[in-house]
Amino acid sequence: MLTAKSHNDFYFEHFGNIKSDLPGAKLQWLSRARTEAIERFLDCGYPTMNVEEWKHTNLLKQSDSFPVMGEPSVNEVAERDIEALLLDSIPSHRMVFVNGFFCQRLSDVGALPAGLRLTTAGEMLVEQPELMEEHWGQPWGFLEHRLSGEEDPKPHSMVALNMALSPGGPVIHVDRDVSPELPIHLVNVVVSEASGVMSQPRTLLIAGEGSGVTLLETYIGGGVQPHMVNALTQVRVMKGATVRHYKHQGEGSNSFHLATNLVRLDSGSTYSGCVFSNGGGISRNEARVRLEGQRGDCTLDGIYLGRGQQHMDNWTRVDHVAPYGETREMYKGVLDEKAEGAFQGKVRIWPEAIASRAQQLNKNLLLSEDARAFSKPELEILNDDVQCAHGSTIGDLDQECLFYLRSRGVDEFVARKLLIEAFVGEVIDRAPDVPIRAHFRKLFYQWFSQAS
Amino acid sequence: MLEIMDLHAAVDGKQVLRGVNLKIGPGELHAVMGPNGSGKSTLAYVLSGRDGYDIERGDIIYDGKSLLELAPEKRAEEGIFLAFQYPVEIPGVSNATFLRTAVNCVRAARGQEEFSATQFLKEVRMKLKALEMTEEVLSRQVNVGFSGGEKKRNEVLQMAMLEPRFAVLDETDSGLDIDALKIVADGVNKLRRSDRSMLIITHYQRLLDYIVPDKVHVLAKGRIVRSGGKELAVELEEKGYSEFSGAAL
Ligand SMILES: Nc1ncnc2c1ncn2[C@@H]1O[C@H](COP(=O)(O)OP(=O)(O)OP(=O)(O)O)[C@@H](O)[C@H]1O
Ligand SMILES: [Mg+2]
Repeated sequence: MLTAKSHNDFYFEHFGNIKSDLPGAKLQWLSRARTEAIERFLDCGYPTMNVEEWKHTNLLKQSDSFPVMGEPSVNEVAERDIEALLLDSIPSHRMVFVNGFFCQRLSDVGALPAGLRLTTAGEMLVEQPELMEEHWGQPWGFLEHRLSGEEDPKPHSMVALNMALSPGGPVIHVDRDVSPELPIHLVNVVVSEASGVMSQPRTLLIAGEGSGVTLLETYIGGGVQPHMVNALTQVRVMKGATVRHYKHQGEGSNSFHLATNLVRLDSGSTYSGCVFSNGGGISRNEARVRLEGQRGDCTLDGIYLGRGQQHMDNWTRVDHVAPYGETREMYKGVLDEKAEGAFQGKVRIWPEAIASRAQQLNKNLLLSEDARAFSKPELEILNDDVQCAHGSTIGDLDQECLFYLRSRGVDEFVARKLLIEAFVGEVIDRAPDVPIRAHFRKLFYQWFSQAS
Repeated sequence: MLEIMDLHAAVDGKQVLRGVNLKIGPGELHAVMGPNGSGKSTLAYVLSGRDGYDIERGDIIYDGKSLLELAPEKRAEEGIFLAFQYPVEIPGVSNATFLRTAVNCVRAARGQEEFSATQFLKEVRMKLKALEMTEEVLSRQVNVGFSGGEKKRNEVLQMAMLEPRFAVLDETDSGLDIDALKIVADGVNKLRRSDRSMLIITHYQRLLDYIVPDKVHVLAKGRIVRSGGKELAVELEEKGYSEFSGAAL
């Protein structure tokens, strides 16, 4: 088994080897930021279960199989494989990345409307380095601001690792008042090589003032060797803009998926996020949202469907920094066989954030006696002028409903499907985009039909 | 058609049915009355195959075969239907999905062609009209937020759609206003056929003025203690159940 120390040496050496080839390597601010990031990672190491934020995900359990870094020269991926993995392709502007590297051949960006830029960090760093410095270089989300005033980098060491090593993924820039009709679909395929592979996808979305955009991220693929995806997505929602951000995390069971979404909302802006995860042996989806301008509106939803030995961790944190903000969170898990699910969600209302509203709900459906769920919704309210509520449930399927359906001739399998679909459907139907709802429903049917 | 023989059933270790005997021929409509807690709903549930009942003795023979080993959905396919005393709410499932899934499951099992979306709509509209229900109930979640009377009508709607051969109506009249009672009774009467039998559980003779039974039985303390014609219902309305229950219940 590799020790954390040897991992450190490995990453440090790797960083040394690739840093001059990373996009924007000649930009001083960027190489400084990357050096700072790798140092932070080396200082902190992998987050351990002793860190509150990581208490449900044990990285070290996996560490002996921590794989090498992905290279652009990966195995061939055929278009039809992608289509099959995608299940159905929603009309969209599509970019495909394989092991974190852009793959032109598989992408189908189509005709972009005026005011929508869809490109890679590599290109943006050449064309608009100042913009990138503002949004990409600034390591917001590097530090956990503890209430004690302490700033703690430990929970963010995987973000730091991504920032240091990522070859630069997609950049989406939506101009002021532009609302593209089609969603942007980013497909991240992992193709595991003989030795396994680690990829560092990094995504940036900037929604200009008054703009409106839908982003779907899909993480799929797999292979016989263990592999790791360490994803970072940054979203900046400028004044009055609306971002609808969906994610499907559906890699194979050898995958180890860690992802962090960092979202900043300016005043009067709306962010609506929904993560659908049914893949990966171990997955952890983290979302951190800051309502920095007045009247920010944030929805954070999630669906996690697990079976076998899957471990699915959901971690959310919303900071209401400015007044009159509203947050709604609904996470629902369906866990079968020996799957484990965790939800830890915190909404912190800072003293300045008067008249804030927050609602948090986590519900778990356990379909087997061995499945387990941990739930910890949490509100941290630092002023009196707020309306907040939270709740969580863990239970099995309602036997009365099941019997009612069966007494009408619906066989048990279909009855269970209807009830479970109704359970997750409540989350799916909150998605503002109808085609995405349909997509998520299909993913649900596929997942359900694979029950053993 | 259906014969219940010496049926003993316990729930949670409590003896509820203590030797029920009942025989219902094709096309017959029987009423079961009896005090609260006497085991009427338990009998209905046992007929429909609900879990949790310990059948200690006896049998239920339907069309010459025992029902007891059949799963609830199999019984429904065979034509058994229970209108629940307390219809169940299913959040997140629309009444349309619920009905269509059920109807098509049952039709497929019976070797009938499944309804397409349009055929289904056509059928259900007809039944809705007969029960004076609005189409809006289709888009609502199953029984969620329904008034007591709406729930009962929804049960009868399901019965009409599923075309059972043996229907048990457990207090379908309670919670209905006078007009609704007539509408529901009409609906039930329209479903009466020479090859369709019914067991109607009720507390009130009034229902039996509209739905005239072939026989009336009194269930008390888990047994049929008296059977008679429809005039028995009138007698019970006058005298109550003191003769059967007493203090021992
Ligand atoms: N799951 C259960 N656990 C314990 N006791 C039960 C259960 N189900 C029914 N019983 C008991 O069995 C008895 C018969 O109940 P049942 O519901 O069949 O009565 P009923 O005749 O339908 O009454 P009502 O006229 O009030 O509807 C009651 O004493 C009831 O409390
Ligand atoms: Mg009853």
